[in-house]
Amino acid sequence: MPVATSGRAMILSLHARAIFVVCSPLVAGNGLAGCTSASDRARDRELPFEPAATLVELMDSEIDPAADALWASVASITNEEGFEERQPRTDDEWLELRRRAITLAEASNLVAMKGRRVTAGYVAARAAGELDSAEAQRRIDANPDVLRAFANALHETSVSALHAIDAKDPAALLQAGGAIDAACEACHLSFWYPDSKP
Amino acid sequence: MTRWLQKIFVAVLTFASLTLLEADSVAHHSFAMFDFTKAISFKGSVKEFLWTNPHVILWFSVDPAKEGDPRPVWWAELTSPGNLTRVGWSKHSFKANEPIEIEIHPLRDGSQGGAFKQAKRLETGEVLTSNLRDAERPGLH
Repeated sequence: MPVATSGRAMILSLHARAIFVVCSPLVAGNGLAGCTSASDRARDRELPFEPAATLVELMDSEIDPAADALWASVASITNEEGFEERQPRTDDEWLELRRRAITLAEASNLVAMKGRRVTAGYVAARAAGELDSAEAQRRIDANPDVLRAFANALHETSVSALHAIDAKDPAALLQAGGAIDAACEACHLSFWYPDSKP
Repeated sequence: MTRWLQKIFVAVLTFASLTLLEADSVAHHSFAMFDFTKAISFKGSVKEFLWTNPHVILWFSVDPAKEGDPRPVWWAELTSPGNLTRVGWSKHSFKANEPIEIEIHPLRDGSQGGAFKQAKRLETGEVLTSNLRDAERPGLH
């Protein structure tokens, strides 16, 4: 066995023994209550996840492409050639959309994650009414629960899309797409372009 | 398939892709790209009506300023199908080649597009309205 693997196995083994030693008297005296309490405390500790991407990068690499795919999947098109209903038709097309809905639903959890910065460095506002990255960060830091609520709304609407996809229901998917847009827009109006007035 | 037919096929596909790209390119943005202090109107006809999320798009041909000029195609962005449905619109709200008089809030960069304000059907006089910013405000959904 390689040294590193061997050492890791030993540490894990020591951890297991320590848990056993700590829990044994508690189990004897109070049933499982003591151990449950210890595991609760462990669960409540901050998990050691480190964001690798900024919020803007997360939007650009996961959320926006996934949302765009869901939005573009259902459309009604009227032009000189007639009337066309665009929707997923094959099992493969539905499966691909399902992957996008899962990406969007899980990426919304990443938006809610603590410690993620808006951008790596200062980025100026791109247009009138938009916030620069410093002001966006200040507002998020001052209102983390609001950001989390918006992220939860995106999660719920993404799950609605997932259900529509599982039911292969284009009308429900179009409706879920509108709800996803509303969830995005509500967050953007708070943290991206709150002042886009005439 | 002959070579010239192949070329036509490729050209058609390219045009279709560009059209879709244009639609996708206006999918995700702030309202700041539109100048809501201005409104411009045109007489023309419906080229294409795309009923999709996050924004419904209406392409329309503008009547030429001079005889013989090609008719430029502009686009107008609306809110989502869900929001429009709630105020009486449907995916059949416009027909191809339908003559209209349309009013939009133009793009700040001067290119051929804007936020939809209203359209009047020239055949019936019916007026369809939608305010993009108000429709997208939270609490209206």
